[in-house]
Amino acid sequence: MSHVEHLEHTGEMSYAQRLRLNRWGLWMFLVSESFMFSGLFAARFYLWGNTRPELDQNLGLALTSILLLSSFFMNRAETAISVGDRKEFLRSALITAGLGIAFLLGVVGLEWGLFLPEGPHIRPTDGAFGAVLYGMTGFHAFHVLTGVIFILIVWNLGRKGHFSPERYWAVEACAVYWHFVDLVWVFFYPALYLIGQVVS
Amino acid sequence: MTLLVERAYPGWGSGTLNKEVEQMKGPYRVGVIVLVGLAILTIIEFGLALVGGLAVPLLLVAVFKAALILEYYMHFSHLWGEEGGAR
Repeated sequence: MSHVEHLEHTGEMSYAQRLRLNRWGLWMFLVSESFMFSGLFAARFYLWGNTRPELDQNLGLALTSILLLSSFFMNRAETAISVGDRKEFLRSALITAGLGIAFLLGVVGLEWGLFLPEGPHIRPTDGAFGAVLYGMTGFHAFHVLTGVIFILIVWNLGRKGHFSPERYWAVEACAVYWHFVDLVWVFFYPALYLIGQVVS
Repeated sequence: MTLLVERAYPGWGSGTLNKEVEQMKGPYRVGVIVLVGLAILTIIEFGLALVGGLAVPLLLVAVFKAALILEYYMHFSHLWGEEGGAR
């Protein structure tokens, strides 16, 4: 039992106070994460300047749409559990995880060319373009993967009836983390696909 | 008809159940509105890229999108609420 759990158990700390600490702890973690993503974002502008490699615009737009839609369903899952609608929570959480997997397959399979017979358009060893593209999408994809695992754990707990409208911190934390991953892509998408002149 | 259902099954019809359904629709509606907002901003982004791909307007749109996600999906401002934002 942690110190905080001990305080709650002995009545020295209420659930609401513990929730407040949990929320601030999560946000501090996200701030530390944002430093790493900001470094990658800055590296893109330092190394690419006002240029960018030729990437599949349709794929970029599709990946962005998938991630935005997944955030909508994650929000729906969180809202559902907060009003005690467990069926909707389970359905929306599963859709979110599915969209996350679709995003991963899109990045790894198509952008990285693992599913393409001709291989990737740009390789990690292709100078600054390759390094930045694979660095940014790689770090982000890893966070999507951990987010999907987090969602599936929360979904499984929800299936077993672990959450109530009064107590659903794990769902809330999972939702905030997932939206953060979406938030990072909101900046990565224009940085990788839209800003600057195409250099072949 | 509604009155009969309400008498037979208290809580059904136009009574409590409908109120509960209405309460659930409210938060769900916010999610839909934010999704539509994000979709519109993404289309604007795509259009801006077609007419030059300048960094400042594109990043400005990204900031608007981020603000929508932070406030309505991540409930950022609730952090400073009562007991850390009890919803």
